[in-house]
Amino acid sequence: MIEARGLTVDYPRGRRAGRSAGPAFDRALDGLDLSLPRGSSLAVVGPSGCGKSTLLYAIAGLVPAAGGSLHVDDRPPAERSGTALVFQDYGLFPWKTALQNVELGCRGGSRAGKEAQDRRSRGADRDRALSLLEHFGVGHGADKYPAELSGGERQRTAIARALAAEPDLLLLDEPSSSLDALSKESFQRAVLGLCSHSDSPKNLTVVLVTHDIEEAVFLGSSVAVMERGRIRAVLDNPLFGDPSLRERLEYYEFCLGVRRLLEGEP
Amino acid sequence: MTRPGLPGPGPSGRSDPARRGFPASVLPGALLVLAAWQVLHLGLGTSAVPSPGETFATLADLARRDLAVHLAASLARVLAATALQILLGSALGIALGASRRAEFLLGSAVRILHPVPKVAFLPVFMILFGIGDLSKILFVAAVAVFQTLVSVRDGIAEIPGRLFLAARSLGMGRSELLRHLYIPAVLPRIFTSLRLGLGMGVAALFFAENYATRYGAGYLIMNAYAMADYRTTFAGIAALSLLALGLFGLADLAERRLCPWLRAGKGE
Repeated sequence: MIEARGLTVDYPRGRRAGRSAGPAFDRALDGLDLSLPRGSSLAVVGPSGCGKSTLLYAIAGLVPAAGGSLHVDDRPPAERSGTALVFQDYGLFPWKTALQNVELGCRGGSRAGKEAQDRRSRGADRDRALSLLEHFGVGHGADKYPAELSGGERQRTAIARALAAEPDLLLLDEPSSSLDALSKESFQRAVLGLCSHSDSPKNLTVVLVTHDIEEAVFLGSSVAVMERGRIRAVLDNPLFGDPSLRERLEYYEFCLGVRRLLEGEP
Repeated sequence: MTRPGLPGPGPSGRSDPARRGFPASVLPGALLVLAAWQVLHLGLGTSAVPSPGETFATLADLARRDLAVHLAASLARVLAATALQILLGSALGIALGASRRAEFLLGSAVRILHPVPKVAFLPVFMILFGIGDLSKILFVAAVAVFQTLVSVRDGIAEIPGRLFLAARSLGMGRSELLRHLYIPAVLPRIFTSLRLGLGMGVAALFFAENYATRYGAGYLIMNAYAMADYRTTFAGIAALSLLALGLFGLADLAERRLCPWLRAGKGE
């Protein structure tokens, strides 16, 4: 599904951060290799500034590759539809209600989705957006503006908006970094439901970026450790898919292994 | 988030007057202004400052005669000029904020022209566009348009980068960006510039109505002044002020209707 070979991404220095992505690094990704099969979920962990978010933006086609190659389904990311991205700070439009935000996902979605959008009536978009919000437990907040929602509700609204476009590749950038412990767990269970295909007809592939090792091990069928613009190691996660994972000792042992890798031990 | 007895600073204190509605919110200020005016009238003891009572009696008298004609002429000019100000200012402001090419071509021209006192160009406007309403409307719009242009341009620059990324990842095209991102993002600023522009516009209109017209509040005021009829002068000023106040109220109302998210999350 995702094939990266020697992928390099540069940010021109001094470029206004508002127009492009992230901070003005010179080299955010430095010869990164990655291969991810369809239907898997990859959790990327790494210290701040290691290029985690840039990797997501590159896969989403939002930042161009300066060197190497990156293909999603054998196509350059920018030419592809079906990729949805959930931003770290949600990226909800403050002037739109939760429902209107999700409706934007229904209509925009993908370049190929334009025709579908014309065929569907606005009412159908609305119904779909509402059922997505209800699925993620934000049905009661449909007519509220983002400023009136809690952090967890905003996060779930953002996910509903991303899924409204019916993507087959879902990218999550630090999805639970600003959630309290309980919101975090309910959010993680919702994502696990998506990852483990129980209710995703399209064989959804998920890439999530996090600095939380336990979250990575809970949500990733494989866990990649990133460091200075490269992937240092990818670990297959034999424990993936168990919702009661946190009650098993192996879980913490696996987390410890990831932590050691992050801290630079061989 | 209501804290009775604590009308101090902070969002709840700030939004208090708006919550009480337009007429009630201006009442204390109106009383203060009238009291100061009365004191000034008594203290100065000159016929050049008539009392509020005299002024409003004259205003009532004028209202029975031709005040409506003058106010209607001024109102029509101000509304037409404001429409031009908003349309032209927003379009140019969005273009300057969103397009590097437009900013490259026009950005420095705007920076040069912004501080130029446009009011001084009234004669030029009258020569170019005649002495009728057209030149007055264009003149007032030209004075006020930079308010909208500059605040809209700056508003676009302040849209958080993540919203651009979100819009791109949602596959928005140009027209959708305009509709869902640029316009709502700058709408509150358009209203702010509308208020600022109204103040400047009414002043410019007063100036423009001193020339080549026999209708308008500006004409009424200066004509009365020329004849040393200070009561009518003040009545005209009061009428023009009330007109502007009404327009401000309309702007507030429109903002509350069109920007409901501004009040969201503030406990209202």
